[in-house]
Amino acid sequence: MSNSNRTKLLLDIGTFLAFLVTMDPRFSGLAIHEWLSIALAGTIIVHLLLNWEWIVNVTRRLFVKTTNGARFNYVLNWLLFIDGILIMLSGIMISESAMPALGVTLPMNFAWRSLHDMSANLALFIMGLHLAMHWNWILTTFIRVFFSGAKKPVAVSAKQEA
Amino acid sequence: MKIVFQVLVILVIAALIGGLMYAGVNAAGSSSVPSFDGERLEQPAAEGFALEGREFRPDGDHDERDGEAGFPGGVVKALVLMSFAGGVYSAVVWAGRKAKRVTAQ
Repeated sequence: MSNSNRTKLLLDIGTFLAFLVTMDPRFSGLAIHEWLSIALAGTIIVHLLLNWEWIVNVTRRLFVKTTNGARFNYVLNWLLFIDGILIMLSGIMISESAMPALGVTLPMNFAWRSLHDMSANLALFIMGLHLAMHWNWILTTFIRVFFSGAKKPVAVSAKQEA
Repeated sequence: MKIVFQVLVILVIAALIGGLMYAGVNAAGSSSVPSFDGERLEQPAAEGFALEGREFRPDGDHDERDGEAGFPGGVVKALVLMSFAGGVYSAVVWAGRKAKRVTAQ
């Protein structure tokens, strides 16, 4: 298990849990919803940096030589990225806690609220597809990180006892 | 240095896309709502919300600002929708593989 995969998995789990919390502002409260969403933007940048090599490789080969699955994955990732930007932008525009706390007053536009709701719902579908596409990697890495390591101490202690 | 460049690329692309969206929404003409002395105006009630005074307030006695320790319905909704999308994807992939096997035989 490489450290890179472990880092990716732990970051992705954290991002996913934070994403779930931000999807329910009534449960978390508006302030947590807004600040956590801003923090999520940072983790998404790190997520992109950790997968930079894949992004560059597929971009180069997109129209030349790559599988349809990789193409679909690539387009889906772009859709998720664009939708994420729309969620962030519309969220900033309707912010009632984070932006005022930073001293930023933005002009109100009724369209941002509905855009925020719509893009958040769309993100759920795209995120579902994104997770499904990477499910094998998630499951394999999860088992290696959380269960393979736990077996070693047992084996060592068994040997010591013998 | 390489990472700084990569971060800059991400931020520039995000800024370009965000700028286009902002311009698009403004161009749609719905942004021409004037504000009064810099104050934020009321927004129309979204689904499941009702306006009380000058604030967004969810239906009933809930207040979105403080949150509530009750049942996290939004989280469950998110999980259900993501599972549905994932299920649809898996079904399509499974059907595609099955069709390939049948064609190969």
